[in-house]
Amino acid sequence: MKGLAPIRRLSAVLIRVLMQGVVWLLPAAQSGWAKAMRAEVAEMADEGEALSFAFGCLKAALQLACERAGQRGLQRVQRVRVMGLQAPYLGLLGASAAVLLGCGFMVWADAPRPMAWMNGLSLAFALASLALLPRRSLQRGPRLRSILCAALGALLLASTALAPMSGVIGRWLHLGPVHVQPVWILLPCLLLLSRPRRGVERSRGDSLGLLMAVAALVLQAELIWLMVMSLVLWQRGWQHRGEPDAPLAVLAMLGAAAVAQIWQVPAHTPFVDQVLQSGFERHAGLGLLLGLGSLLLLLPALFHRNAREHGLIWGGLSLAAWMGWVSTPLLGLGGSAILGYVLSLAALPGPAAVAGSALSDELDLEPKPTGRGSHLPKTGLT
Amino acid sequence: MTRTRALSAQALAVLDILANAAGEWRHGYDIAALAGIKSGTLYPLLMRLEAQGQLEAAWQESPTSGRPPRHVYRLTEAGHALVASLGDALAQARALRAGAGLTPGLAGRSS
Repeated sequence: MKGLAPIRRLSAVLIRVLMQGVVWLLPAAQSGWAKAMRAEVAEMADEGEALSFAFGCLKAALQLACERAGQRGLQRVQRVRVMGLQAPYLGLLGASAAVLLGCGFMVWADAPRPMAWMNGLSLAFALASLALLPRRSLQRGPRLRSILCAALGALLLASTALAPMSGVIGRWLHLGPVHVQPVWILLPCLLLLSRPRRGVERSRGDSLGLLMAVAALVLQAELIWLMVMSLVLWQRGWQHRGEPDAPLAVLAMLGAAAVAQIWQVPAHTPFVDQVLQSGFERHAGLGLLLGLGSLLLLLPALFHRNAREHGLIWGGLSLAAWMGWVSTPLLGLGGSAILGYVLSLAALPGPAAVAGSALSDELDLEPKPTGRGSHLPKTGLT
Repeated sequence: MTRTRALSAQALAVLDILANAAGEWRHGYDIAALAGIKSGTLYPLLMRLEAQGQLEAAWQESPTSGRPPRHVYRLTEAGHALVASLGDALAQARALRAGAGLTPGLAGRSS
């Protein structure tokens, strides 16, 4: 129980940050509601439940902040169209907008011309690759997912044989003129494919893939990825007690602690690292716009509960990018991140899964009626 | 002009729970747990219901010292009238929640 104390402290801090976000987002006229939410969270004994409740409150505050911004038209479209979109499509929208925003920034800031082109081409390639992936089979076939998890873990482990970027850190795969970092492409997909699904028994392939991934990340001294992985596995272990995720999370954390001894902050490369700061240095508005671009990566997680892990991965990476520990995903130059983000959307429940378990994952109450509330009486409420 | 939009299943669930509370005050977490909805859905709903006069809110001291007072909610007369006018829709929502394994109405949990 003593070992859980740091996690509890971390949860408490996270909850406080989330609730501070709620206070900040809600206008003064609604400050009472922010207090009400905070008081409710304070009464909860279970940290996991409190964290989930706090996340929901932040989501509500975000929604209300959008409304307040006077974008009634946009908000209506968001409610009717965007929220109705499946998580992968929302992700595609967010990714495309973020990449275009990043390209626009590069052009505006006089970055070398090929940079914007490369990101644009990477996006096109990623979208084409996603279209070719057998998403339906991925949604419906636990066996296929399990095999893929093991294969992705093995590939990540095999990529350790590639030449490191500096010292022992990081790996690049050179495919003719194209250079990619396998970890950005393989790990998000592996993590999301191994996500426990309601009514589906976990297979050994999932755990084996994750185990190989931890080993590969330690060998490649990928500290940030180890931290992201342990974060995802911790929250998974918390939600699905008895699954092998908690021991794997401990392993990833131990790996991170070991790697921290040799890890160094990568050298800053313009238009690759700390893109948000570069934006703020030029103009506050530009920085804010790029900040919004970063938030676009979280669209699937904001509107779909079953895409929360996707948000955790890319939100974690965006935060690390803010610190300059990894390159800025999608906004900065980097085909690997673009490819990794878009391909990881294939692992999210989409239209193919709606008829099955994913729906009950996503909706706590009931399947959505096909005609929006057609059987319900008309009243003055929304 | 009155807006004519259908009540969502979540709004029906919240109204049902508050109606079954028989005038008792309910906490936000209780309502969310009983309705089987997330806080992200609950609070915008509560805010709208309150703004439309269907719901009243009050602050209640926490029994645990040092904890902030909690917001509690119950239906107003207008809210009860709305619930009474819902008829079958409310019963349908209740049946759906029961089907989803959620305890309807009064069997609330205290937190």
